[in-house]
Amino acid sequence: MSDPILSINDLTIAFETSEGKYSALNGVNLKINPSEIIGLVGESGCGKSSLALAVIGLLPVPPAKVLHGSITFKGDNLLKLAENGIEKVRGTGISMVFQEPLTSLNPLFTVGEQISEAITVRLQREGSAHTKSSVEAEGIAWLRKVGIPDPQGAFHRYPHELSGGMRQRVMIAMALSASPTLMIADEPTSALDVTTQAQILKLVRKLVEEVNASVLFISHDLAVVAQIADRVAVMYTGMIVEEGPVVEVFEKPLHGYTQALLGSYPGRESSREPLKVIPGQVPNLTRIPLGCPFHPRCVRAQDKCKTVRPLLKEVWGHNVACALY
Amino acid sequence: MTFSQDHKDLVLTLRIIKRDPLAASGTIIAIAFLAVAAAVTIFGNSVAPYDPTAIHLSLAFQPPSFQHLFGTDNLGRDVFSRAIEATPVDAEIAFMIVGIASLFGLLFGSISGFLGGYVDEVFMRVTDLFLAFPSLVLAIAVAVALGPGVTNVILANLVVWWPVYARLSRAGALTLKETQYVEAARIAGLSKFAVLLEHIIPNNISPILVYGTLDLGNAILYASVLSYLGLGAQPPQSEWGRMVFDGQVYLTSAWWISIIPGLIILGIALGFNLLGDALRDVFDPRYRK
Amino acid sequence: MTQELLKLENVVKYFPAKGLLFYSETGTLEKGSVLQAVDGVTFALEPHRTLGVVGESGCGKTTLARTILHLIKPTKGKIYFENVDLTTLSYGQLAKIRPNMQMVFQDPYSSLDPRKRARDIIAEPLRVMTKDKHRVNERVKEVMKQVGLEDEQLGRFPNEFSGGQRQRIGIARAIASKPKLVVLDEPTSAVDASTQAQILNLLRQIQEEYKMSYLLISHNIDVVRHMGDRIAVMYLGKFVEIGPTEDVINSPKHPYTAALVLSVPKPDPRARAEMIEIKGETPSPINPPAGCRYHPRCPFATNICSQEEPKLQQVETSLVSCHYPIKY
Repeated sequence: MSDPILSINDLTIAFETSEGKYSALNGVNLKINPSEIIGLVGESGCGKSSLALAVIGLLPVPPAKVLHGSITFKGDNLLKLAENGIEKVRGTGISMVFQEPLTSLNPLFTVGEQISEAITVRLQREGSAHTKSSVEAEGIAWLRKVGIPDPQGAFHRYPHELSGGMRQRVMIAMALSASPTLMIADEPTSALDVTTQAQILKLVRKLVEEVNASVLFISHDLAVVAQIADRVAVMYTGMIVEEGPVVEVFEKPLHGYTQALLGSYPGRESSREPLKVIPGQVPNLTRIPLGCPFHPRCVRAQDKCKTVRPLLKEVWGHNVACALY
Repeated sequence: MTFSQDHKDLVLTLRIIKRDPLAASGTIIAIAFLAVAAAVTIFGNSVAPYDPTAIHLSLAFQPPSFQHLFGTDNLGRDVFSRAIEATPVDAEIAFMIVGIASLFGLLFGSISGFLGGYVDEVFMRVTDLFLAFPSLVLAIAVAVALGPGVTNVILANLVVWWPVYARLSRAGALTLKETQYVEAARIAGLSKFAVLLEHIIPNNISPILVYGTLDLGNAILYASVLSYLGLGAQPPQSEWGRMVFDGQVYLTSAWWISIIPGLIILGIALGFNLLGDALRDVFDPRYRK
Repeated sequence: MTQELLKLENVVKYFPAKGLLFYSETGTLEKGSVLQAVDGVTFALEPHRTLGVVGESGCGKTTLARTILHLIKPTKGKIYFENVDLTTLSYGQLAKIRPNMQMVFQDPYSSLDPRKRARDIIAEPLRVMTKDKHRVNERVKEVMKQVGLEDEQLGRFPNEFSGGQRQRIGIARAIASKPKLVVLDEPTSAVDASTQAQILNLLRQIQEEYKMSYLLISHNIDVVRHMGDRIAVMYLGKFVEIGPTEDVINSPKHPYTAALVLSVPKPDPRARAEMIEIKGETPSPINPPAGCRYHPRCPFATNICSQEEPKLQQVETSLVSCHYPIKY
């Protein structure tokens, strides 16, 4: 059993805002092993994007403040590295794919120039010799690998000349060509059509296996995560409430939130019964309830849930943060 | 208590002003300017320490001192008092120009952008026509044609001021036209006119407001320039631009007669610019996050 | 013979696109001439029924919705509402019918005027109908309660509500005039899963109470399946398959429908089925392929498919436009 490549320990990050302290992350504990795809699921505002940004060093500090905890990647403390510049963090082998490629690809440079940059960075890190044409050849090969029909032509085009699905493939090519140990994908298919999404998910599964990378796949869509992840972590108000192998979590959800989330999904019921609704609302992150943050909305809440803040512990094969176990 | 968007904007503006020294300075300058203008308008020349029209040849060319903060001019008049007397003139001119131009531009541009098609084409060609001329040159030309005087200065500047607001409003209207609440209004059965009045124009005001505040500074500059050229306020009414002109000949000997009014013009214009900057940040969607 | 509430006959909507750029099948940018957004749609909708229209980007469903509501005039074809051809009506006559057809929009953040209070937003369609302030206020209060919001929230501005609550206000606005037809344009695409459940339940409740018809447009098959009696699958401006919901989803007869259904991820990690291979991306409606529009991406396409456009034919319980509909 090899060591995890990424280890997030008790990470607590807050923002100072005019309305008070906004607790984006509240004691997040997560480990990612080599060659595994871990799906991070949560609704908007749960902190999943903040977590991704913290790992890759893009979290603006200030106004964010790391109150507690660490992120360890292959032995390095990423939070310390982030202070010295993001390049160092990315240099250690983490790539990122964002949701909207139009705003994350530089419109002023061609696709070729951008993917060449990613490849060159990697080659420099490895200390390998390279020429412009060898980098270009590799770039075109990657574009072909991600299923772009005319890789040569696409290499010389600008991002806006490609459709959404194509741009996302370019982003994936760039992310994987850097030979990352960890690829973070933040809602990479949310802006795409469902058929394009299916193609991209299949592509990511295949390529990630080839390149032997791990993936932190972030999505608000349970179904997407079910299709691609080996393990799943469910996030609520800045903490992981349940985590484990994907089949386990989906078939035997233990946390009240996970159960409610799965139950509210329309696809699961082909009958016309009203959908099960999670009562209440997601709390404002400046006023997280005491005890278990989910207790005001949990159908199984008991008195102790109001005061005890449960930590992740192993129950029946996977981890859950619930006082009832 | 309900908090409309306007209320939130105001609170945010105040917060920015408190935090940012530049914005704070701008606000102070703007408020001072307005306060003095109001005071002189209400109380007349008694606000000033000396009578700005009183001529004392024996006191001419005194440099700035405790008694005469800005010195005296060639006729022995207290420059400080004259400067104060001049405040409401430029205030009136600037507000009239920006106020009328922005209102007209708002309506013109909103109608053009929202209706689109033929109307838009025609309206925009008209706007282009006015924008084709260098604005100061055109303003001067119109002012010369109309003759001297404050009203004519205002009219001359209106001619060059309105197109920018029209363009701004048109851009705003083009975006607003595509919003879903405008679609909802149309589905509800509102006529185009009603949609313009109820939804487009009210939501199009904020860019105008921001630009208008920045613009007040420019308006003061243009008004001063025209007065400097002799086209604006006529003597014995004091006006900063005019004072700069009158004091020119004494630049090497009694610099304060010309330079100080010049600095005042600069300062006020800068003040409004800084305030406008702060306002612009308030409405910048990225800043609000 | 039930009277049809809404009937479309061969509705076509083309937009001139001279010099417009679009993305081709290979995902590259090219120039075009005419955008064939909706290209011959025919269907009927009965009272108190729901028709779901499913399709991906570029299929024309948004244009279809706006054409039905007459925000855009169709290029060709007829739209009958309660047997009256909307395309022949004058502006004034159309205004009288508007209270009967309303829409719920997708984006809760741009479907409400930020400068207006909730009660004014909801009252908008009512104020067009009547000047009686008292009646309008009564109805607004009634509707507000129906969508699950409090009276005291009526005076608030949109920025004080959450996404789900704004969507409710949008629904309140849509049903205020007691319309017979409500077009729901991606009503839950911009909200979270848990909010989506609440909204869908609310919509079902309202439909039961008012006995109105819904035209539900969505890219999400699961949502449409939960709500609809019938589903129409739209591709590049045409309906390729239309039939009872369960039949279309469980036994899709058009290859595109099959690909679509199989592409939709299910929240079940054991069901990682390999989908029917779908090639490439959706072509742009500016330059649709000849013959059957789906043929460049269809694994079963033959020569006929690239030459001749298939007509809608009855296959068991559905209408399908394919030369080789899938048989079960």
